[in-house]
Amino acid sequence: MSLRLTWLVVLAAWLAIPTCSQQVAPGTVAGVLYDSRNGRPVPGAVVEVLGRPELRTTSDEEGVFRLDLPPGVYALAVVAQGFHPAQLEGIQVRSGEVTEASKVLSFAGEATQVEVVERISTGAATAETIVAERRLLPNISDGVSAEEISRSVASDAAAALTRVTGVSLVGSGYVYVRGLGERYSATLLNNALIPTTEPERRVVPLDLFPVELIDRIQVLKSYTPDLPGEFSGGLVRMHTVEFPAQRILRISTSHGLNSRTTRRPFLTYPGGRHDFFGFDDGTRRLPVTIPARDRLFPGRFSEAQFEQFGEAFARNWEPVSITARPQQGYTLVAGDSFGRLGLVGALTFSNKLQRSRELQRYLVNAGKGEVRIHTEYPDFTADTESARLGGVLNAAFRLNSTGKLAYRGMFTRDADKETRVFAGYNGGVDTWIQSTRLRWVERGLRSNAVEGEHAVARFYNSLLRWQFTWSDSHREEPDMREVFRTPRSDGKLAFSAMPQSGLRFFNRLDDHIREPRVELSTPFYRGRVSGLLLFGYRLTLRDRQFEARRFRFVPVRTATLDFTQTSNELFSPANIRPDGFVLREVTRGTDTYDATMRVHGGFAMADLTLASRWRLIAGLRLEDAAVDVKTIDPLVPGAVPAVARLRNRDPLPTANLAYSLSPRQSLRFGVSRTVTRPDFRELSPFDFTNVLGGFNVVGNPNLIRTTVDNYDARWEIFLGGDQLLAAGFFYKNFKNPIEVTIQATTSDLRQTFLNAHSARNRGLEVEARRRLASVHPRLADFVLVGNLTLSDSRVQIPPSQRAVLTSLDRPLIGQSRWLGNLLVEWLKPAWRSSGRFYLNYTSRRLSDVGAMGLPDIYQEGFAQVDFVYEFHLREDGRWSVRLAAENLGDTHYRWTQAGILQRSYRLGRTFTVGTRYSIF
Amino acid sequence: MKRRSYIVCTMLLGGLAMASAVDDAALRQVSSPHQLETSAAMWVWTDKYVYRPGETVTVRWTLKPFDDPLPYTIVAYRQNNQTGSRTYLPGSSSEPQDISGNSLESGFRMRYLENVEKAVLAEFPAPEQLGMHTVVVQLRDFTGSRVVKAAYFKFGVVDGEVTVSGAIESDTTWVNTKLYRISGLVFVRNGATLTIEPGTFVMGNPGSQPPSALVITRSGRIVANGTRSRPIIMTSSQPFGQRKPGDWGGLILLGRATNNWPEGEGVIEGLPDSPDARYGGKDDAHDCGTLRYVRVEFAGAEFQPNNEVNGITWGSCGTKTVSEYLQVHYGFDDAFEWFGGTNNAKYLVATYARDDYFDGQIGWRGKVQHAVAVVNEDNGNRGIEMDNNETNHALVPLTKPQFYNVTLVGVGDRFTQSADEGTGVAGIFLRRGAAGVYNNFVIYNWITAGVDLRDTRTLENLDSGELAMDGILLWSNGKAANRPLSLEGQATAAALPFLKGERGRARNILVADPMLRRPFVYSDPDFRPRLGSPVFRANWVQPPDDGFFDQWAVWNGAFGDVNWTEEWACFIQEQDLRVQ
Repeated sequence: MSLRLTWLVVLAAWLAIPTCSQQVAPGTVAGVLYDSRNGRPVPGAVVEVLGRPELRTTSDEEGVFRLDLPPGVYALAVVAQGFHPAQLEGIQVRSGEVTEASKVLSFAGEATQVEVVERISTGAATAETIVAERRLLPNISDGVSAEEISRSVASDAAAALTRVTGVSLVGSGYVYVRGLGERYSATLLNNALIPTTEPERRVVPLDLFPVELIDRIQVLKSYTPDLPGEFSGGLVRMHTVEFPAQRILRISTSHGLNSRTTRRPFLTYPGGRHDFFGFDDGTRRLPVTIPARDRLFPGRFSEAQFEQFGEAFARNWEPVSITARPQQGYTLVAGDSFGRLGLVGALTFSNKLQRSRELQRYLVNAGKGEVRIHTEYPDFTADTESARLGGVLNAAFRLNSTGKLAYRGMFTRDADKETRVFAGYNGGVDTWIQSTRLRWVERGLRSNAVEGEHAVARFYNSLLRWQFTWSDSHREEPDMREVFRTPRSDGKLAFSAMPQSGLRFFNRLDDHIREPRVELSTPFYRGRVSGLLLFGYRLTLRDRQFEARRFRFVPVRTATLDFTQTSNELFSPANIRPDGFVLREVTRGTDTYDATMRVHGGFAMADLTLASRWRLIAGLRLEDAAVDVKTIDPLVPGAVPAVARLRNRDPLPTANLAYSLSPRQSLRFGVSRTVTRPDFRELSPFDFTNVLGGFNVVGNPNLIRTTVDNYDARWEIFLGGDQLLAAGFFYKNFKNPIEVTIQATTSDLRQTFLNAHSARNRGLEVEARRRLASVHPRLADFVLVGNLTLSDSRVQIPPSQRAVLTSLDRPLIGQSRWLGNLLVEWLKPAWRSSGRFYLNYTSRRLSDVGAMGLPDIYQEGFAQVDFVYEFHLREDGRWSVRLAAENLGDTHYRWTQAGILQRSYRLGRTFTVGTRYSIF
Repeated sequence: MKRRSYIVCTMLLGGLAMASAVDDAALRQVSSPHQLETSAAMWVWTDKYVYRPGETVTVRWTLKPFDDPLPYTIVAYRQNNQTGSRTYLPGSSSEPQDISGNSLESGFRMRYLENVEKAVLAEFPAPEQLGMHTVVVQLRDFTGSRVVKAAYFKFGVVDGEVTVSGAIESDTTWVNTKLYRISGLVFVRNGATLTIEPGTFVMGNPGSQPPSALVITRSGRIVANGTRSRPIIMTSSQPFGQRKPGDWGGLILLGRATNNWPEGEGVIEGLPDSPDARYGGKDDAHDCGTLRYVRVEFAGAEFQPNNEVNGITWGSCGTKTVSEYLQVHYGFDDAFEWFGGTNNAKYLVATYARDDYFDGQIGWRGKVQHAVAVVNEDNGNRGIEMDNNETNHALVPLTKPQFYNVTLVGVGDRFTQSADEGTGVAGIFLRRGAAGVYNNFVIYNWITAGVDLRDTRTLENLDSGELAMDGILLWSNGKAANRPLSLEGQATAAALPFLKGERGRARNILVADPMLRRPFVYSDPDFRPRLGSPVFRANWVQPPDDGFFDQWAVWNGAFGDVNWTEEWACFIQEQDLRVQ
């Protein structure tokens, strides 16, 4: 639901024909006008009696209008900028009585041509809109607009969100809102839930979405019953590019270099012909001679066949070094409207090389309080070429004055071609090892939505909205190759027959969501109490398939092989033979799972305006969820699946209250209950090793869902224009939160999940946006924007875990105590220039829980500094140049454990030059 | 059992005889009265393990004289181990015959030993009598009555197969007239006892995930009471010559004895958490059952990346558990591994494991006597690897086994290619706080060192006396790293002060050639000491007479004069029975 509201201009109206000329005591028509997209009142709409242009009024800030009319039957015309003109007919006005005539207005901006084209300094306009929006919004939210995104250095949705109060980024794509992990968030794209590309995650990584396709992103922090009940930290709501107000055709390019990558040696490997664009040309496919539905095991296939299978794999194990080229990106956006049809499309492509060199260490509790380094990889190098391609096509068609149809389509895909090399002492095997891994990860998401809006005048002037979305995501990791080597006693590096060595790993995940949704909003007006009733139903059908095949080249008679050969020599046909290297399939039965989730969610809510100063949104959502995870080995006929089931029906009551202290000041309170269900993989009773490497993780079929009680309070003062000062407090109480714990196995440990008894999270948020003109006239060109979040959480570990886990009382994983953003904007229209300086700070946060006396691992606090300068080459703003410097301080990312540096890296400074040219 | 407790001078005569052989007559004179040993190696095998009655059994053999100049009478027969009856080969006669078909009456023919390579010795229909049978080839001395050397091979005749999957929840007996195939994880639980008759073959089906393995849970018991003549063989289902380590899972016994996990329990690797998968408790006398004369072959399938199953795993079994005469042959992971517990074991044979041979951790405190490990050139990491607890080196109870009379034979001067532990391949490798008593060892031919000690807590155990060694014979270790044949060359720098007596309690550390008879003839090795071997010198320590240890084992290493691996154990390398 886009929240763009542009009810700024009042259009012409028509006169109603009077039915009676006799003067009697007048009656009153009164009502409230609501925005169909979000139920917010529409101020500034012109309401007039059809045929009597002199009998007109304008709706106030609360969307309320009143017209005193002589008794009779009237028809009213409602006109508001950006909305379809609407008519209310057959309104009986009786002497001395108030007749209700409320209406939900259908947002129309998409499909109508706008006659008035206005140009305000864009950045300011957008910020102003958001502030205006926030003033009206009953729940607590923060957002980033397209303008803000495009002005920052962010290239994907995840990076753009780090500017939002209380939001931090963990990994490259997961957004933590108020310190609550992805477990507590959900992502809506054009208002529909979208599937993930990650086999062990619940939400889609947001770095998958190029900013060029995003109109705006909003983070809802408090709950209303029309939203899916499964979030408590934040709901990330993204909207793809909106329909343009005029014909557009815009081309942007971007070229850049990274101080630690570009023009330096870069490892890659021979791949397919279309790697540059992020498409595998089939080079990495499982060889066709390998049976697709049959496990390769001795007895089923002959030795000769195994030899054939082994030789069918491409002999491509070794990295090559090139010189890294600069990064590049291109975007095309086009849109127009043709009468009642509006169309907009966007296409974006980028290719970027990034070298990451890390220090990685693993510590061990040597007993008696001594913590020491067990494993150390001083140069853990991962060179990644990322190609990203995305597109959007949105179309809207206005049926008539009462209805509208729209289609929204989006696809995005990216591919990472990674070459990873590391070496060092491994304390697990007590020797020095070297690993070389070649990998290709392809992710994609397609989402299609059809939606409609229909005014139902006969049913209390209600508005019916419906939407059907089908989204499919996939992630494919074809032909990952890894070889380990260890030094021999003579110092030569030799192939090591460790379990991950000589590996060829294939996996694919498909996740689908089908989501029909329908909502009916009915306005009403009863004098001092007016409002909107909303009823809705959302069915989320989700299913996921994950499949993997693992193969390993195992040496049989090692004495017949020369392990010091290069990998391509080593796995040559001459060495693939029954007594040399044999191919062995090590696909695990648990590598394949099917999961389904069905959530029926129905809600009823009322949005009431009480005595013009109070606004109350209260309601109830009922969610009926069924989750089934079936882990089965498809390669074994008649295998018995392991099944995990979860059935819950949860009532989720909510109340949000807003109180206007003054026209410029408001107070908001919110109370709600939400749920969090275990992820598919967490319910599977079998263990899995994270495909990205690392801990062995086992699911827990006994997990139950978490219920969260959320309390929010916020005070805001609007200082005119886009200036704002706000402070908020939140408190969340978790019952049975799902937390990571550690289990003792045989020699090592593994991760599993359990329902902790309880947890709480509380915090304060402060936000300000201030023009500096009032401070000093010389600072008139500057705007200062800042936000700061202080949060504090605590998880109570159940006594059963006390023997293993080191800290029994700790914060939530990923939560920083302090999060802050500072933005200094410099706008100089006279010079056609603007500059922005960004500072983002994240304080230290828990990254991994420690077990067996080892302290927890913390990521140390870090700050990132970015700078963007933009210059319009032409007066009309059609051609602009943009210079961006990202990560100016070359931030040192560090993790520590027991005071010892556990992991660290720097990503280098990135400088980009971009141009943007608008043909229309 | 050929107990050859002969006096030294007799051996001397035999030795002289071999050295000066000229002709038959002279030989007869000189080698009289007894011909005692031969340098020849020999092994015999059938074309598979288990037959139906009437199926053709093809017996092949390999003989390597190794310059033994003496003539022998060669006699081969099949023995029905149920009845003891013999049928002489190749003619299937019930009267004694040599392999040329000469009967006793006509006189056995003596012949000089010649190289025989995978030749067919006999073909005969599998007998009607079900159960275990043995093919035996004997080299007899000139009298034709005294056996100088014998090779054995066990096979079974069954009238059916039973595929077992899922759980065994009531008392069950597996009989030697059937072949048992394990499919997937088989749990013995719910108070059930699984009894396996002597002479029974059990095969793990390949291809399943999780792999086929037999798991005796804490609520189950196993009684696998084989005999020397009828061992219980748990093995690969693949054709001979194509069997590989990891063809199936392995044998796992879980008990309720104590360990050093803070919770007292752990989950056995690769299994989801359930009462079936947990090991550990408070009963140090817990009885996991009896394993006697059991061979586990080609086990070690991958349960999960980085986690293969050991041949035999004891997870916190207690002192009432009986483990004797056990062999793990060609495992992909460790041969024997203990996770906590107190169970003891005697007469262990670990052959050609990919990883370590005797591995213990999580607070195991058992006793082991008479154990041998041999690495071949295609396999192997460490001989003994002990950890206290990888996650916290100081957890108690400490891993503190007591080993007496152990022979560890590495491949030494070759680079063992699959030694994935690179530069850390030692005979005894103690780390992460491990303790224990290691007495009467022969540590021979390990790649990087004979003894390697790692980590502070381990070294501190030297000072506290929790870790001690007595009677260690080291030889030829570290050769691949060009280490000298002195004490400095036999141990890593961290272990050296200890072995030199400067720190902790190490006594009777000797660098000397143990003079083993035939340690590197892999398919037919002999680890007994040769005449004049230093193992009988006074560098050993007397084992305690505590009811478990045999006090009579007064030498370094697993063997005195008696080869206790004879007949029931099998050393044949896979490539040495592959035909084509």
